[in-house]
Amino acid sequence: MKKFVSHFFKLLLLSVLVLIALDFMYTKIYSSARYNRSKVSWVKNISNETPLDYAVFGSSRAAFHIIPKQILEKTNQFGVNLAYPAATNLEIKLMVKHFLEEHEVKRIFIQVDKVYNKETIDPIAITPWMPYLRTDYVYNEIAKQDSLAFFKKYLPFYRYMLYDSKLGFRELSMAFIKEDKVEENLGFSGINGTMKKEATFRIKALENKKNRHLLEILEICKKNAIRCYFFTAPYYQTDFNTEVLKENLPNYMDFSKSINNISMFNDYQHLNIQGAKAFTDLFIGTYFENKK
Amino acid sequence: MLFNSIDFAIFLPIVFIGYWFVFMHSLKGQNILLLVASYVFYGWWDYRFLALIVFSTLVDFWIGNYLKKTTDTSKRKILLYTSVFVNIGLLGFFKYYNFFIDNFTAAFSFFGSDIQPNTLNIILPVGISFYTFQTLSYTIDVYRKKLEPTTDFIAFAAFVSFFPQLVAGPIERATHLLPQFKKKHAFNSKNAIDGLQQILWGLFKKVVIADNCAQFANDIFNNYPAYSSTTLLLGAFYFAFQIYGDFSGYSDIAIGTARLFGFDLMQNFALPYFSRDIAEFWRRWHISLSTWFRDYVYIPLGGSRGTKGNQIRNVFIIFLVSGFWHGANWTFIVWGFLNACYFLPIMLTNKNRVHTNIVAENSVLPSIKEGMQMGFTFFVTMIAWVFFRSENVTHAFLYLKQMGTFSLPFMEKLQLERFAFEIVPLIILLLTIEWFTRKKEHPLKGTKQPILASLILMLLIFVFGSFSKLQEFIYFQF
Repeated sequence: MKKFVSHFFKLLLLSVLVLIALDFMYTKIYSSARYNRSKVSWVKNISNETPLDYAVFGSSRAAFHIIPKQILEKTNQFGVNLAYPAATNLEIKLMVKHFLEEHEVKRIFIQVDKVYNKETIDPIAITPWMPYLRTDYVYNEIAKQDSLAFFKKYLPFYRYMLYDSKLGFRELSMAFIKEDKVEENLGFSGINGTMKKEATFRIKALENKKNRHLLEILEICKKNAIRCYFFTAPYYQTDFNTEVLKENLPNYMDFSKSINNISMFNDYQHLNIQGAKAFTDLFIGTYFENKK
Repeated sequence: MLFNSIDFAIFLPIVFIGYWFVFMHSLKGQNILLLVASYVFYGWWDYRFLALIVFSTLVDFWIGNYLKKTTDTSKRKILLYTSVFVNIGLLGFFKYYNFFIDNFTAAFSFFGSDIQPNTLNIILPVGISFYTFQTLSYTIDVYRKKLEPTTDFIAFAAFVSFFPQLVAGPIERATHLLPQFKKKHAFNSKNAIDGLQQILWGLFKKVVIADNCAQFANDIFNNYPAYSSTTLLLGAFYFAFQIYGDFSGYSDIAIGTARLFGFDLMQNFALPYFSRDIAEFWRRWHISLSTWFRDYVYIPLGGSRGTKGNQIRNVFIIFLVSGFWHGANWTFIVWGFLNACYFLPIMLTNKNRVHTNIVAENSVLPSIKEGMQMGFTFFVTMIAWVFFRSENVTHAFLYLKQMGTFSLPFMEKLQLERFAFEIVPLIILLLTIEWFTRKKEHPLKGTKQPILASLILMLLIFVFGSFSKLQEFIYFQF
């Protein structure tokens, strides 16, 4: 029995060491600016040499729609698009905090829409935050809602095993293999498709109440003297009622019905590249003085 | 409770400590512990189905003892038929009731008679096909006087419900496993370490090979009309390794776990994808089921003796019953039929026992002829797996039809970043390891560096394992 117990504990100890080493390696690579595979890690890579005039936050409906290079060319205002697909209010708040740890900015734009009432974690959008789980404000937010957060934080490599399809070996190797275009486009990523079928899309009415994550963002902005603007990006023919947003959010601008040309949409809630260019022009006209 | 779950990782050490440290001096105590642990293990899914195991155990225990007391042939037969009726009856009701009702309804509708089907919302108890066959083997062997019936109810109940192999085999014979519950086990470190290594090897096959293949096989099979022919070929290839990794991985974990308690379970897989013909494949795939059907169905029917007609009949019966055992769906019956068609020419030309040894026994690499034989056997097996995996027979035919169109793009699933490009190298790694250790029961057996070998395997499991989408073992549904 002694031989077996010794074998078992040696193996257990070595396995734990392997897990610690793997956890360290994965975290280092994912949070390293050099290999950024998500906008969360890219934030650290944004140069502080040129002062940032603005930053955009939100979901795919901002990531695919606002083109910072176009804004730079037309207004000389330098900014970044930090929105990423599936992000909802909690992830947007995390991104704002994460961004302000590294950078200073004069104003921020936050895209809000049909998920305005959501206060819970988005299981997909939270994935890029896993390498940062040992950062207090990230952990505190996740631990409030995720019963496994403690294990994800303290069991070495457990977080990467649980999210293997998004943060596993394949994704890790892509950090070395695949060229990163996030930086080149200052965070904008366009889609090429064109919507074919005309229809009116129904969107569930919003509940008239404050969102605690967005309130917290407003407080952060106030403390840092940052002007905060909220907006809703275009939808194609929806019955979306933005009254709740107008009532609850300061500096709110409704663009939801601003583009009606079907050829500019990839689907009813995403513009294609052509639509993104048109919307960015609209965005510039609304928020930026033409400095060129 | 899944073998690849946290629950089992906590459960197993508790039972192990209880078995070897608390009840080490009492065989009765050890058997009671195993029985309770097995019922907990099974009840983890649905405690209500424990009643079925207990009922089956009581019936066969009583029949076994009654068979000993009576010498009257007709009474003995009645007792045997009672056991068969009860066990197959339970299996038939839970597994096949709705299938028969649906097919009777369809048959009546075909002839113009519209009847209202009276199907029931039946949940299939996990592992019912396995433990009913195991208890049946006991009664049949007692009836045949190959085995003395036991008077130790605890040992018998522990034999029926032994948790490592309760839900997906290997289907043990009473003659092999039951006596092991009657003798005291001395702890053997070498065996226990070997068991641990076999568990790791099984986990590798399940979590790294099967579960990764499952994601893509599922996607391709569920959306086959949208994919090119080469992608469908890839889907069938992935499924072939999914089912192999899944089931043989489970068997390895079961055998390894049993070994931790000093029990020896039969080998269930012996490198089936290195078979040179379909007869060899069936001697290497799900051995415990194949030999069960051989001993309790095929040989009593006459086996390969008698007229050619009888031989052909017996082959078809054995493969069709084997197919039907897997599930109440025509896909399994067609799968069995197809395998019978593969097997028949080999048997009729008396070539079914040509390859009884391991391939390339005295050389490092196979000859070109052996390589081609293995490739061909794998290919025809893979075609049959399409029926096994498809939702229904129509889908299977459409899948195969589209696979034969040679349409482009070439294996688009392999070209997308999101799809696991590492799976194919991992399958090649699996085959390479198995090839170079093909004379061993499992690759880590007798290795000179057990810790290093185990550690490498664990590293592969941690890095390449699929944990986000925990997949149940395929054979649980049977």
